[in-house]
Amino acid sequence: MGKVVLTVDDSASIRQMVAFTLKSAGYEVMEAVDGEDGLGKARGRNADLILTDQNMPRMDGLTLIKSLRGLPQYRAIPILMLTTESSDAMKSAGRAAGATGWLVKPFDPQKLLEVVKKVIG
Amino acid sequence: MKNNNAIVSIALLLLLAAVTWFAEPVWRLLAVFVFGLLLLWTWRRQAAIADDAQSGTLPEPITAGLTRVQADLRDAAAQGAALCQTGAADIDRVKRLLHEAIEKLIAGFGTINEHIRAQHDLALYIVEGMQGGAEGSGQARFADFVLDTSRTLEVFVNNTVETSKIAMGLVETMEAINQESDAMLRILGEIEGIAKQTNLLALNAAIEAARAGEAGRGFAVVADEVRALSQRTDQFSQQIRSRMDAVHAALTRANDAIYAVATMDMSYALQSKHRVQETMQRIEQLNETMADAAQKIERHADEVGSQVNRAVTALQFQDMTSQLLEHGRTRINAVQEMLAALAAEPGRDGDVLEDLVRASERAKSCHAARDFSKNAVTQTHLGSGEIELF
Repeated sequence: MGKVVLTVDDSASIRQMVAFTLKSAGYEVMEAVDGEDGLGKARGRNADLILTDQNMPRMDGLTLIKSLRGLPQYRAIPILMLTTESSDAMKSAGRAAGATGWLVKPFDPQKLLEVVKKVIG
Repeated sequence: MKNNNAIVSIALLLLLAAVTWFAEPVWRLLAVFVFGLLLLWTWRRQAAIADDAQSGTLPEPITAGLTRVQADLRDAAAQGAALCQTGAADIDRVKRLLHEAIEKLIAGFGTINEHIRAQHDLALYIVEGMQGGAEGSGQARFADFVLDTSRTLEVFVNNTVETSKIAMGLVETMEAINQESDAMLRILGEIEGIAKQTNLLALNAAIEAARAGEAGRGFAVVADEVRALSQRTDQFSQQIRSRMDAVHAALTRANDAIYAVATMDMSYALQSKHRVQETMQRIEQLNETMADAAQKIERHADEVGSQVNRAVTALQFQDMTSQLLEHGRTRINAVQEMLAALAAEPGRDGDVLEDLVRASERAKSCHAARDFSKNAVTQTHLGSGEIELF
């Protein structure tokens, strides 16, 4: 059975693209529309990897990462930021919050797959 | 204004001085009177302006002008706010249209990708079938099949040609056998001749024995025996001839058959051999062309796949543009609020200046209330973004 990836983004098109890229490589993909939805879905079913945007309504990516890192089942699960933000300040904030990596949009499907493969196999 | 008054006062003073110097006393008196009136009027006017300034009310023409300016400003601000509203609605519509279009495009590219992967797998399957299947797949190589068929057909054709050659050899052998059988028949003729001669001689001997009388009696018996022997010889010789005829007929039939085989099959088999060679070459060429085509299909499928990936990367412009459009809309909304503040209904006290000051302060506070420094999208092109693993 394929590993489960949770993609959190308020842009439907980005969720669609992440889902179609990862599904083609045999991963199972869950989708969430913002940080709060993502947190709920991550609680509902354990994901092997979480890909999240930063700027979203209700709860942003950094808050989501901090909240997830507070849950025992997500202490060691890789969380990747996939965002248009590319400033060093934001990146170090992400690292401090517990992000595993930082991907700046737009993403190349092939490169995204390589990173996901590297992180969860 | 004050400067103008001073110039007018000095000019009047000079005029008065000139009149008092040159004119008659009556005119001097009149000039002094007129000058006094003028001076009085100027003083009073200045005192009235000073009074107005002290009480905070503007002179009537200025107030009227300001009121007109305020009305124009409110009209312009209201029009600007309405434009901002339509602008914001336009931006929303662009966002919605983009969203719908991109969603369909992504779905389309997703389907393209699926089909391309299927095509790629098929091409791979064909190539493997042409050049030998993956190890343990049990898939027969088409090239091997062609080689086996070619070899089998060649062996078959070679055997046929060889058979033809042997048949030719048999024809010669049959001719030799026929010649031998003819020779035997000739010898048989000789034997028959000898038997006939012997029969005649025995007959003569019997006649001679009879003429000799008693003395020839024993010789007559011998002559009879010899005659009987010659007759038996003739019978045997007849039997042998009939057998030889049967053998000769059979040999002739065999000869005909072998000759037919030797002449007919040879050309056909040679043609067949040539055709088989040609066909095998064609099949081999076809095999190579098909394998080549399948490899090309595989390469094209890979290329389409990577182009789809690039398209998907580029399609993410929608995410960036919608964020940028959102920022633009926020700014337009702010402008709209500021214009609405400027266009607000004036106070009831009719103090135009105070109204204008209040309106400009409201507009300023609208701007200050918003933070425009934040802009998550700093990308200026669509190349794929950097990746950093912590």
